[in-house]
Amino acid sequence: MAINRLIFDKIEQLSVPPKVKNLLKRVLEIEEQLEISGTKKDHFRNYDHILDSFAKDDEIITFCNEHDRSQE
Amino acid sequence: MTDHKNKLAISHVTLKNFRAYAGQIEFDLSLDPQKTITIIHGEMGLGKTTILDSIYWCLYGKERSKKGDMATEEGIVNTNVLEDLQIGGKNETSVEILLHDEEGVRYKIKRTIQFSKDVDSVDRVSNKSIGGTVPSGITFLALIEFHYLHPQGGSSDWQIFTKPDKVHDEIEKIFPEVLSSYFLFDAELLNEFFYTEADEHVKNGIEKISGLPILDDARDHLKNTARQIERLVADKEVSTKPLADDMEKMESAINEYKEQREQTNLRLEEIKQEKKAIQEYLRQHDDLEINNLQNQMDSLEETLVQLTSANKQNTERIEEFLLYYTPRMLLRNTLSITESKFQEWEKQGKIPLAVSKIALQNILNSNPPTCICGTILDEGTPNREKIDSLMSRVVDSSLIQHITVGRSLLSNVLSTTEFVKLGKELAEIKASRGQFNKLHSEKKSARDAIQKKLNNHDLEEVQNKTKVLHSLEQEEIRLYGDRKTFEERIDFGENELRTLKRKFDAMTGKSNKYQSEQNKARMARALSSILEQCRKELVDQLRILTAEKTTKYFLNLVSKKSDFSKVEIRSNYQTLALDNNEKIKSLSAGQSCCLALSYIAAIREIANRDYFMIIDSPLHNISQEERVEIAQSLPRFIPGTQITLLVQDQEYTGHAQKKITGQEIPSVRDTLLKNKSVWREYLLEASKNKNDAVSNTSIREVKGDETI
Amino acid sequence: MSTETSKKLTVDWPDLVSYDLSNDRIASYYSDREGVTRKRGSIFYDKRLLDVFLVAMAIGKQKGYRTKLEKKSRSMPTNALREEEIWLMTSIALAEENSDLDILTKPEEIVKICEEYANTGINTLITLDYNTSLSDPLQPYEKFFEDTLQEISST
Repeated sequence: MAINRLIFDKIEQLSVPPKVKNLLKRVLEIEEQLEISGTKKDHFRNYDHILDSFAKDDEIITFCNEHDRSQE
Repeated sequence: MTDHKNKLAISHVTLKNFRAYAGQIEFDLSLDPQKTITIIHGEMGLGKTTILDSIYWCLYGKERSKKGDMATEEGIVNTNVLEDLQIGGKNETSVEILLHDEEGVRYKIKRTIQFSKDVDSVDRVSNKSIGGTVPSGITFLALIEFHYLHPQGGSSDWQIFTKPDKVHDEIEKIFPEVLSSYFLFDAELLNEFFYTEADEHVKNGIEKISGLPILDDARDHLKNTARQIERLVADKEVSTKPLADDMEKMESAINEYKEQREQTNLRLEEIKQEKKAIQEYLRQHDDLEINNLQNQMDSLEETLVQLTSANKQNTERIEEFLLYYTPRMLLRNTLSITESKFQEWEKQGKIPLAVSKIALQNILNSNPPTCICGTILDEGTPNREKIDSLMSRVVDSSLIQHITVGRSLLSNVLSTTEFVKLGKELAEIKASRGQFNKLHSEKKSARDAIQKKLNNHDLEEVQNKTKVLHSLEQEEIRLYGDRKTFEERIDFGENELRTLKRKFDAMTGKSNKYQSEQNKARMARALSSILEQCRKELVDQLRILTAEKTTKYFLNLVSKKSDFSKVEIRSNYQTLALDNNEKIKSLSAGQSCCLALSYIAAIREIANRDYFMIIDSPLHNISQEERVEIAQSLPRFIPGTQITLLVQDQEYTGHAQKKITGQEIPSVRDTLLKNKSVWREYLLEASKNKNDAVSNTSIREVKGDETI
Repeated sequence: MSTETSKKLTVDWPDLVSYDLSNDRIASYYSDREGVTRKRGSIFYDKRLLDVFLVAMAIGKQKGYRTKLEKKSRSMPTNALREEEIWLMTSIALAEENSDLDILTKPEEIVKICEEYANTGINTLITLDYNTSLSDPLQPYEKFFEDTLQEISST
């Protein structure tokens, strides 16, 4: 089903770079598509694919690395 | 591509050969924003619920709820139609619905099962698309059509989709199946609220319908993606494989501890609520106060025992008085007559003077000297002189002595039974008894009042609850301990995981060969972590939001709204109505129905779906009075939303009388017709076969002034 | 109140005082096993049958007529009478219209007179007892006493 706007509103409120917000929304959209189409086995492929497309974005990578390290 | 619409209503439904309906039936539903209610009613078993099921089937291609084993189910195709099919013959079962949004007709969905008979066969086979068993000689073909009219398009610009997957996607966008029970539902769901089994449903509603499962899935899939990337790297870099395995095991263990911690938290929350309730009870039934009351009670009981004993003595006094004085009082005149006779006999000389020497001496020795008749015998008085003279003459004899004693006794009786004296003495004793009685009555009243207070307190219950409280506190301490342990293990696990990851990263980072994979894995973990944080915040937010919206609808729908302040949804998804003191109020069946409907309306609002609502037997299990109250409130409940009620005759047209006053309670029909909120009424009617069994159901519109 | 043990006059009194055994109602009332002296709530509960007799006798005397006994019960021992009570009975006999001093030498006559007066008065006692309630057992007797007191004192 369609992602409730509350989730998107929440993402907008996060203190993360806009690119990360967009990436999060993109991830959720993929999830929604996969759910509708019922092709659950494609999750890794789809996620891997989108991560690939952002893997060269320095801003995103730096943020995620920092975030990952801050969780440690 | 279709766009998701916020407001949709069904304008027309056509059923053909679907379950109880042989042949075609069709009916319209209200598009009138003022008169939003359509009624379809009929006796039980005629196919009311089938209408709900048919719409569901049309949307999703499956049955709403399978109650039995498919092997015994007849399926959706009307059995008479199947049985009447000749070899080479064809027919079809279909359901078509037409949907409107604010701008006009928007969708047409038609689902069809075509069937043809090839051979006669007595064998039966299961058929999934039919949802039951069918004769094996019949072939079935499932078809679906999804028609969409673009808002900017003309009447001929319908887009039509017939591929099942495509249609499924389109329908899922508009009517997600997970949402279906918020526009197509029945009394069973409403009953869950009455029996407080709704927690799971509320949880599902809040989390799933509001989209959280997508967030959960995304979070988990991202984590899995990170793990898989690392696994792939480990597969390539054999030396890292054990590390990757360990990381996977550690993550699994951490997740398990997190789950246990979550369960512990839920139980702690429950304990908190239970403790609160008990503490409130104990506050109202203070131990100290009970003991004080008990002491007062004991003191009063003791006083009453003493008073009863004293009263008994009083009673004995009266008894003695009556027993002694009654005959003497009655014989007083007789005694006087007897004494007169003795005096006369004395004069006649028949008896010597009623004196003895000793008696005379005693008289003279008394101070002052007083005769037995009471005359004072002072020196020099004539009577004294007579006595003095007698002293020298009197002769004792036993008879005379006895007569003397007798007369003395009788004289004594006379003197003690003076009427005024008797009356006064009795009155005094009775007054004393009266005082005792009054005091006894006062003390008894005081004791009864305290007993009543004590009864309200129920010391045993206080003791029980104190025990339960103690037990809960013990459990709470234990659970805090458990939670601490889980957190320590989670911390430890996460530290270990980080260490393993560092090692893994170090091993894979030795060359830039896996830099990209590392970045992706980190990205995936970071995004997963952010989504987790989002989820935590959203859950509470959504729960509160749902409670607020449910409150809004509830206070609009329930009849005695002044009894309630709000609806609360707890962290364990227990949904409760609170009174004006914010205490949990137990609900009647009708009020629970209102709560359920309000929750449904709230979820629809949050999900931003003001769609049609079709409810099967919503008023089935509640009293007539409450049915009417809900019927009165229904039109303003969700203004402008299309509501279709599938109701049984008794539910809809039944009357009742108030038990105490005998006042007539109108029917739901009369109430709805009176407030002019019903757009149209339909009646399901049965036709019977030669064996008097129901062979088919038909539907017809009920005229406005028709009595049914 | 005199509680002395009885001293009879110079001649022996009859051993026993009687009630009318031929009257079932009276016999039942006097019954030692199940009569008024065995009835909780009665003023005569656990008292002597002689107490019943004396009150009945006084009531009968106050009414002013005697009722012959058909069949004597010979059940109440006179040696249980107190001296004062002996003289109440004697007084009744002496107060009879044609009585003379020599009745003192005929105690059986005294007893007979008193028995007959008691036989008259017993019905009033039975009625009083019938009106007794457990919640206020003395009330009928109190009322009788007060009413009679008023009546006698006003004549």
